[in-house]
Amino acid sequence: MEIYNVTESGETVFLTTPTLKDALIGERVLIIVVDDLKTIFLWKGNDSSVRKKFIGARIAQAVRGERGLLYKVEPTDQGEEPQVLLDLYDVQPAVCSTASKSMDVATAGTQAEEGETSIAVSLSVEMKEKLLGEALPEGFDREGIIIGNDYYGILKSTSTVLGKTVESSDIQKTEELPDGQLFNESYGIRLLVENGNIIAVEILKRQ
Amino acid sequence: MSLLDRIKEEPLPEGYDREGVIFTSGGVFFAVTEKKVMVLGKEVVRTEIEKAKDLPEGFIFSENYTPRIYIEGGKVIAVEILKKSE
Repeated sequence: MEIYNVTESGETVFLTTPTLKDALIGERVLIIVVDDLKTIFLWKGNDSSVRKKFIGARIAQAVRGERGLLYKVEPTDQGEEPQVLLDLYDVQPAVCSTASKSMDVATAGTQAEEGETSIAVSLSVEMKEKLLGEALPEGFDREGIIIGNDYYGILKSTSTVLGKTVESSDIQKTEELPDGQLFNESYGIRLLVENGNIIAVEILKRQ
Repeated sequence: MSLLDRIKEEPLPEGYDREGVIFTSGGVFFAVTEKKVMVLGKEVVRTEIEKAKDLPEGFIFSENYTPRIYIEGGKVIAVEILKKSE
């Protein structure tokens, strides 16, 4: 089990506390990686800022992207921890980090300031997990997602950190759609159905 | 004229048939259905677009389909599901 503390400046700090319980402080947002459970807990203290929570959500997804799709991200608020996490309270965390670029990728791509509306125009964490957790069909890349009347495009950003180029991507609502019809033979479609309704339409591009 | 009627009147891209229309505001799927009736021993086929029932839960994908997206005022109002003609 590895614990990372998300800082206000968008960095992550590897924590080596005696037990998990000792790391759980109300002002913190923590990324708790439990390989045995293939779970990345996004633990959010009750007194933590919106910004930390936003950054933490991005990092958790980036870590998952690196560790594999078998991993799931489980957001949890302080005081509402699932039993499986409570059972780890007295466990001593790892003393060495195995994280590589995922922590940098997530923080480098962070652009939102506290109070900005980026959270509102991004997909919800739950929807992201649902859609990104499903492997893409072979030969296709995801280019966009339609939810309700809104189109969410894949936003790719590149930053340079101490000479190292890091890329990150996010899914954000796109407002500048041209009116009319859009059709291109290079694209496919995947639907997500829940309770008889189509809750998401993925626009896939043939490679 | 309803949105469905407007879409039905749109010419299809060459080599494609319409298989369904999604109205994004309600996540409702309308499927193209063929109805056959016998009239004095002769089969008459009628094509209609009806609200689909009993959609299977979960992800649905087939590589034979291509979307056509309808946009108004920066919002996606409908997605047409097109299939390559055989």
